[in-house]
Amino acid sequence: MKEGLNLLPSVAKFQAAKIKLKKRVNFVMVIFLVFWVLLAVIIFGWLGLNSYLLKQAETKNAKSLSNYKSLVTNVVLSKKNKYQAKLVGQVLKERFEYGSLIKKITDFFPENVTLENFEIKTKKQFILDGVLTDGKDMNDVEDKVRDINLGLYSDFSSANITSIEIGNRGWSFEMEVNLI
Amino acid sequence: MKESFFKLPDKIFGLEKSVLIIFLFPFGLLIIFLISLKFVLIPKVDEIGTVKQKINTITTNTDKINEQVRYLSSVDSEELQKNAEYLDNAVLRNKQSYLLVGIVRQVANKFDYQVKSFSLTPGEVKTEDTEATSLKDMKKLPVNLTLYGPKEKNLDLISALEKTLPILFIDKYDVTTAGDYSELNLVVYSYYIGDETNIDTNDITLSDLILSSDELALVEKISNFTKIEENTDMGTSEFQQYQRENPFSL
Repeated sequence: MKEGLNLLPSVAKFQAAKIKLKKRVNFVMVIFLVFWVLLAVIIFGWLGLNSYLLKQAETKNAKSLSNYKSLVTNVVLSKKNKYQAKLVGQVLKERFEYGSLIKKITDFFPENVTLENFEIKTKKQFILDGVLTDGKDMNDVEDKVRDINLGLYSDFSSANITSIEIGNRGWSFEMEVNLI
Repeated sequence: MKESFFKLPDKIFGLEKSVLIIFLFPFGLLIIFLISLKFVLIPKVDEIGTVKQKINTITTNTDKINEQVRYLSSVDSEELQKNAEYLDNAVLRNKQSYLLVGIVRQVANKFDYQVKSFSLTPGEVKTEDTEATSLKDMKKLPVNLTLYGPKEKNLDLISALEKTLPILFIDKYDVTTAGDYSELNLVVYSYYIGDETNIDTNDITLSDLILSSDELALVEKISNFTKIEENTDMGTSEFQQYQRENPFSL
């Protein structure tokens, strides 16, 4: 055979080739079956492992939930606080503080000026009436208006005197001031 | 006749019948494998995917819950309660504007001011405030007041009103001075948060529970405000019927 010489009759040769082929087919089939079984084992094993892990995770979750439920009062209170703080914070942020503005204006004028009427038109504008006993003090008021318009005061953007009157009580003026 | 019907020729498509028979079993096996792949193995692989996804969801959820449990266990319940009280006091507890008059009156009395008149229908509150309050759960309750008192305490009164719980908002400010006395015309409003506010405890994250630094600063700020009790007696007093004789009856 090694020399490539085969003296078997052709039928016997055919039978030998068939047997060889059958053996090869069987070998391939065994490998295929092993692969199949292995594949099935791996898939079912992996599924089993995952199902086990799922059960474990569910148990842990149930335990955590039970702990969480025991703290439900704090949960509700914390959530409520957060919600209310958000609402209150939002409206308070928009609140215009009149107290600080009035203080600024009171401090702005010298002592010889008496503020009589005070009206806040908008959050950015207010009108005030002042009274002076001495007409010379009107110069101070005019100087203040000039300084505001020159931008020397950080809180005020512009100002103008809308009227000046001289009456029984002395000098009175009306002034319009705009905030920055 | 039957035998000849099932009897195959010795050669099929030029191949020996006995050779073809060798491949018959592997072919059948292959078909069975393909069927099992389609109807058993692939569905099981999909099931593994689903189970893994479930595990991930549950694990994430558990971590989230554990995180919250850790925070909630560490938080001081008393402080939580105190914060809740401040925040509750920051808004009106009753949806009645006239209660505001009582609150302002209590503050005004401290500075020798008196409520000269008030109106519960002050007209429209300035639009810029309304726009800022797009929070549908909050209801704005305004009142128009005229206060009368010493001129020098005017600023103190306004500052005190701005540091009062429930938080008061001044919408209009007009002062007229005559001698040592001032007349203040104010539109004051406050907010009422409805009880119907739903707090869903199911889908909560840790950030829904922890107050941010700004919110903590807010609580700190309002904790310095003066709490004024809402006097609800005005609206809830019982009706009393007095028996009087008709002086015109004969």
